[in-house]
Amino acid sequence: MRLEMDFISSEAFAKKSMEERVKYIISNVKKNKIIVIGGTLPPKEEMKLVEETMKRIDEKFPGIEVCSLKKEESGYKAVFQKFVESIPRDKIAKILSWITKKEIKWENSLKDGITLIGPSTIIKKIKREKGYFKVLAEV
Amino acid sequence: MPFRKILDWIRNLFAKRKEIRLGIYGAVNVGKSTLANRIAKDWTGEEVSTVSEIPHETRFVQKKEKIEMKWNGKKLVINLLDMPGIATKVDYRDFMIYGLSRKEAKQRAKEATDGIIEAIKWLDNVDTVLAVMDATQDPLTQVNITLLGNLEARNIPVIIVANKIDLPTADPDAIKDAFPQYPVVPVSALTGKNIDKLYEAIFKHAKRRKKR
Repeated sequence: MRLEMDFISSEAFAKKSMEERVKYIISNVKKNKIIVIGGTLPPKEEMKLVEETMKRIDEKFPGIEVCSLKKEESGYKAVFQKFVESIPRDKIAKILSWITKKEIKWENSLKDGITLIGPSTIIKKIKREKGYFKVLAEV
Repeated sequence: MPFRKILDWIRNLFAKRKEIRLGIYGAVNVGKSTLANRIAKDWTGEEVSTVSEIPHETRFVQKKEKIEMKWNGKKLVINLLDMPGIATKVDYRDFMIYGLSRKEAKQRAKEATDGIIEAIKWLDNVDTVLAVMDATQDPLTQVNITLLGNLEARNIPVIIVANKIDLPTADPDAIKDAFPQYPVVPVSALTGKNIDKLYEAIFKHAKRRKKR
């Protein structure tokens, strides 16, 4: 059996909205593809991915396996990172769109790191260690 | 008397404001319902959820409201919310191993997925979370990481409960090492071991969120 893997850069993914990204991931994982993204999704988006996956579970698609490793900042960079993450970008973009009467999209940049998402029918086990993870897949 | 009614209304309004919605979150089969029962039984004498070895026994949010807790002269009123376990997959075939028929297993899987969605939606409405982890298992799972990331993003105070310390393979220090930035309380919800430390932590860390 064939195994298809898609590798996506964080720049390419950042151009999509949260809804588009979640939709892209699930539709491709449902086609038995493994998606590798050159960055990590924001926590709320990861949870949205779980929620949307649950809505699509059926006999043939029992779910997904996900593993993400993000670059941990320390010191003032960590404080700045937290501040940037706390900005409600979608809401600000909506307000600006309403004021200017133009569609404004705030680029949903990903954090440095790596994310792997695949169907649970193929990915059997993920073992996470500090700085790397191992994936056991069965095709 | 209308005046008394107004006074009662104001009193109720303030009484309600002091209540804390304490959500019990975690992966499947980590002992969330056993912990909810332990807390509810210790303070009210009644249990809140059923417990089973079959995964996804809790498929609907179980509530026990207005639990009055007293600790060192302080009082806290909590609304306890036992959440369905968070998972990224639900395969009905896993339930058939426990003797469920195909039809029963499919129904359980459907309810389990709905339960996970409900638990995720509740994240916007809880004040404080007990994140339960099985101390006999590797804590560095995506479910734990995603859950803690979401609680942090929402500014929800969290206490990690390292459960099942009555088992010989339990390693609560592994949880402390994995998540050093959070308060971790090792307990056995089943035997009640160390449960006082958890109540102490609840009084220390639990608070209402500013925004709902």
